[in-house]
Amino acid sequence: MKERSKQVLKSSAALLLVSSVALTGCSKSGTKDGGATTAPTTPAATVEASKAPALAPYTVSLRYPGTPQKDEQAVEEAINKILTKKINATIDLQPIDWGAWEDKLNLMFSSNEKADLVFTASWQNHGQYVHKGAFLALDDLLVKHGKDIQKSLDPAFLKGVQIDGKTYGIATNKEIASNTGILMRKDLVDKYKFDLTKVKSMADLEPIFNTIKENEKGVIPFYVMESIMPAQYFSDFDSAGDVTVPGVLLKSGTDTKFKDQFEFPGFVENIKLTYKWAQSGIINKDAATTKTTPEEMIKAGKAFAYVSGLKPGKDKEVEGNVKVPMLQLDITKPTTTTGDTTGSMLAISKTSKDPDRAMMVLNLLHSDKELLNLVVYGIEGTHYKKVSDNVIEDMNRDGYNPGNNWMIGNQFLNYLGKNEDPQKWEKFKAFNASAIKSPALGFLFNGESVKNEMAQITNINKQYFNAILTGSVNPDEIIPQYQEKLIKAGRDKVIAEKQKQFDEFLKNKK
Amino acid sequence: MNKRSDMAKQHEGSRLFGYATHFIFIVYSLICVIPVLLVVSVSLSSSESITNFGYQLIPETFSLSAYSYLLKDPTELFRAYGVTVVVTATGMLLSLAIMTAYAYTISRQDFKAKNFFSFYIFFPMLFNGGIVPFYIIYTQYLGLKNSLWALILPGIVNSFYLLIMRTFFQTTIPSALIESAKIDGAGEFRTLFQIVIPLSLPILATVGMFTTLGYWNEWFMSLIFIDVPSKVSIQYLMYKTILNVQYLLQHNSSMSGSKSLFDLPTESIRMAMCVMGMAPMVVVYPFFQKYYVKGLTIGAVKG
Repeated sequence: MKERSKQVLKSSAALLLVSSVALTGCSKSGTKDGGATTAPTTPAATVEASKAPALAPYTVSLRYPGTPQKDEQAVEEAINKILTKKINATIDLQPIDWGAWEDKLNLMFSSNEKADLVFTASWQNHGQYVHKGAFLALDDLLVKHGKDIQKSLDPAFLKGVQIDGKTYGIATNKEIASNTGILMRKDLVDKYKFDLTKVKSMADLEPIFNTIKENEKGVIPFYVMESIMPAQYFSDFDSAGDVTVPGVLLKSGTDTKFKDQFEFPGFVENIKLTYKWAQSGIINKDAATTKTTPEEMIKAGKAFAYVSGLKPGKDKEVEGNVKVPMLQLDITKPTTTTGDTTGSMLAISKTSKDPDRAMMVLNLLHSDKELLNLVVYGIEGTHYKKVSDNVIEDMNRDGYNPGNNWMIGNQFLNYLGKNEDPQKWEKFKAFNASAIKSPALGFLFNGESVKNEMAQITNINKQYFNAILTGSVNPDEIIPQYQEKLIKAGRDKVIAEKQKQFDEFLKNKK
Repeated sequence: MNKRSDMAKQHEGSRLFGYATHFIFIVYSLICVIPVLLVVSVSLSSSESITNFGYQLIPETFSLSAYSYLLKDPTELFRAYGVTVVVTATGMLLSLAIMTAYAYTISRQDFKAKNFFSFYIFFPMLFNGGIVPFYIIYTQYLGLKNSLWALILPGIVNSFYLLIMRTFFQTTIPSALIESAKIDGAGEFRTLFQIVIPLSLPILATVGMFTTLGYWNEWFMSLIFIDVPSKVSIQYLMYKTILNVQYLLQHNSSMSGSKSLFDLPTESIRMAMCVMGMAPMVVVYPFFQKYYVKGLTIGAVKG
């Protein structure tokens, strides 16, 4: 008797399964002709959710730079559960190693390979890709499927990413500004009771560094290396694109004239100061060549401080890595440039087979907390556990730790780490609101017409820029040499071109 | 008497010459060996000692932490080894088979289309389509993205080696020999396998070794064709670490510190990876070399 009822149950279950498969098969074939074309006309995300079965299944690929993760497949499956329910889509995470990123992206675009969501940024040649036509203009799609994006993103982010009046990428919702300051070891600050309130500029740091130099043997007071160079950070320059291209204006100023960087006395002062510090032993001797990061040095107890771009809670982030209490000293005011608003975006490739669906996924990444946290932190209970509603603790980080939270969706929806400030996102919002907007915000220089000059300048920069800014050479002797070479290479032509494009931009803005 | 002192002088001279040669070669080998030793010893230093004292031939504090870090989860490393071994072995065998066949055919004077086929193989040495068409063919027409064949196929025929082989066949194997084999009743395959190939071991060994080294050191194909970490070669695995470090340092200021530089592998780990990458070749090379030299002398005696 028992056996029999089991049998019946089994066979009816099988029947149910078969019929449901058959049904989904029907809906699939039914939508192939109708669904894909009708979907774009549905206006809001909420309407789509109820209409979900009408959409044909589609796999949206998400390409971003980063190390491929071991548990990627498990995470994808968890994401797919949510996505299938909401918009009948699945996701294919395609992290690509940093070192291979540019090569692979170029090949992908030139060979018309299928791709949907692609990470891009102004420092990642976003402008060039747009001019080559690699990305779709997203304005219409944004209106159709991007309700939540439009709601949550700061208008500066929405407007700031436009090129020639069109949107080619959706910015990741995160800090929109940056300021410069110093990160330093808290234990030493406490030990010598430094008065940090007096520090208003780079020069004011000198007595602090001298104290460290005299009393802490074997500790480098101010650690400098390639790309971590104080004069550059304190320069307050907006170069409207690649920082190595000549022509800058002050981002906290109002002047709309691009000039050569050495025409700003503050910048030259800071370079001279760097040289002086390098001579007196405040800055490490191997600054121009070292490949050891300041974080490693601080962890090893060999350095006291370094210059850094800051945002609220930066000290806690670094502290998590170096395991030494850190303190951040904000020196300049937060400013917003095109570099900040376009520092991290997701674009839709022109080779996407279903841009509408890609936009829907993007919209969900900006609004669905569960989904986004899956992408950036992995699976709850495997990769992290919840301490409270919004705070998590690491578990098995080896399996999934892509470090992509600043690249994807809305960072304000990310869970917070245990050591982080619970008010972090509120502080971010206040920080964003307090930022001074650069006069060139929204403008991105297109160097196509001065390519030859720029190539020459890049070569000259390689020889001089880092050497000068790390304080390795005497600026009084070398800067004139450097400038002479730059002028010969066509510096002024590049600046004039930049100014021309900018004037045009200002005219169109009005 | 006079003669004797002359001879002594000559001896003296050749002795001096010998010393000088030895000295030059000792210095030269030191220049080659010391960097390798340095890599080994840095891989054995603790990262604190590298930050504190820089690179040293004898590490200040000895540490195996870099290796234990790498071997904590060696699956990635061993998989990459596996990929490289499979690709190298398959590639080398296929490459020798195809190149020998091709080179032998165009080396025969009685092959009518030999000029055309020689030119056909010579032309790509001067002109090629560049990387994008190459990539399109492999990914879209052959569908070889993320396939090990994408690592093997590009290296199979090398025009330069092929032409060297052709010249070898033309010059060292007299056509009279092939004719007499024919008269004795040997078919084409018998002639190739029993007469030509045994006489051509030196060139096969040389080309085989170059191809093996080529496959072993190949990383670029992994970079462009492989997205899944389980199918990359050992060289790429190491190269990408270096590339990642360079890239992140270069773009650090643009990313406004969004990405932490801290998860980059330390110097000692990078060096340890380097040691792991070169170790098998260092072990295998002497065997190869023995064969290689033997092959060469066979050729010399026979020639």
